[in-house]
Amino acid sequence: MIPPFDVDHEYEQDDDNDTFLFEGLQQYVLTHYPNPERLDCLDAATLRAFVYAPETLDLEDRKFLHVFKCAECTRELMAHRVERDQRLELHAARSARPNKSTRRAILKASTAMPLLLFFLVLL
Amino acid sequence: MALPSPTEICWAMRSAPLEQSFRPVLRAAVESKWPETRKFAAALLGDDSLAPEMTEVAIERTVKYLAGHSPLGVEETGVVFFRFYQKEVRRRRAASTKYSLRGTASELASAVSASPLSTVEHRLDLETTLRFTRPDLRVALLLRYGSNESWSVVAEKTGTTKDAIRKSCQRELNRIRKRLRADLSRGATQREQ
Ligand SMILES: [Zn+2]
Repeated sequence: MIPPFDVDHEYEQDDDNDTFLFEGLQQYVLTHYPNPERLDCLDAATLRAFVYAPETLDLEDRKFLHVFKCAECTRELMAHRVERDQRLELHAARSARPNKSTRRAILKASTAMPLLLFFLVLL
Repeated sequence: MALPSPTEICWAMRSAPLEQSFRPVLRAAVESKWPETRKFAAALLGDDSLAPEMTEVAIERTVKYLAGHSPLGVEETGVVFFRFYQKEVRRRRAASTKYSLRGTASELASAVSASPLSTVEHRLDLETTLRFTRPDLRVALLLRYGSNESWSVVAEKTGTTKDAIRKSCQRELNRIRKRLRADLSRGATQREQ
C-alpha cells in the first residue's frame, strides 16, 4: 500500500510554475462545478481562442472568470490544450527532421564512402 | 498485499460487454490515470486499498459512455474515466460518513452543521473572489489556468517579468493553495477522527 498522500509535501515541492497547484485547481473545478446545462458558458470559438490566441480576447472582461466555476468549460479548454500541445510537438518534430536536400547529401555521402575506402586501401 | 495493476483490473472487463475497439484506448487511459486514482482515493478515503474496486466500477461506466458516443482519444477517455472514478470515490466517502455518525439527534445535528462537507459556501469560488481583484492579475491567472501558459509566457503577454507577476499573484495563489490543501486533507482527517 502506498503511504498516505502527503498534500503539504506536494505543495512544498511544487515547481516554479505552480503546476501542482493549478492541476489541483483544475481538478477541483471539474469535481465541484459540473454545469451540464452549460449555463453562462463561453461559446466554442471563444474557448478555442482562449487557448490558441488569448491575445485576441479581452480577458479583463469579468465574464471570463466563469471558467473558474465551470467543469464543462474547463474540460473544453483542456481538450484544446491537448490538441495545441500535440500540434506543437508535431511541428517541432518536423522542424528537427533534415530537409530533402540534406537527406540527399547524406545518401550521396554514404554511397561514396565504400568507394573512397577502396581507393585508400589501394594506395 | 500489493494492489493489482490497471492491466489486471481492466481485465475484469472480461465481464463487461466491451467493444474491441475501445480496449486499447481505455487501457491506456486507465493506466495513465492510475497514479492519480490511487492518490485521489488516499486523499479522500484515507488509503488507496479500494482503488482497484472503484476503478472497475468507473471502467464499466466509461464503457457504457463510450458505447453511446463517437470514438474518443486516450486523453479524453481518461477524463471521462476519471470523472466516473471521482464520482464513485465521493459516493463511498459520503456513505462512510453517513454510517459513522453516531449519537443523539441533537449531537448529530450539531455534528452535521460543524462538518465542512455539509456546507456548500465553503467552496473555493474564484469567479466571485477574483471579481474584485486587479484586472492585470485576473488576466494573468486566467492565462495560467485557462491557456495553461507558463508564468514566463504569462509575463511576456502581460508585459512584466515572471518573478513580478508571480509575486503579484501570491495572495491569490496562497488562498487557492490553502483551500485546496484543506479539501485534500479533509478525507484523511475525517477517517482519523
Ligand atoms: Zn461553462
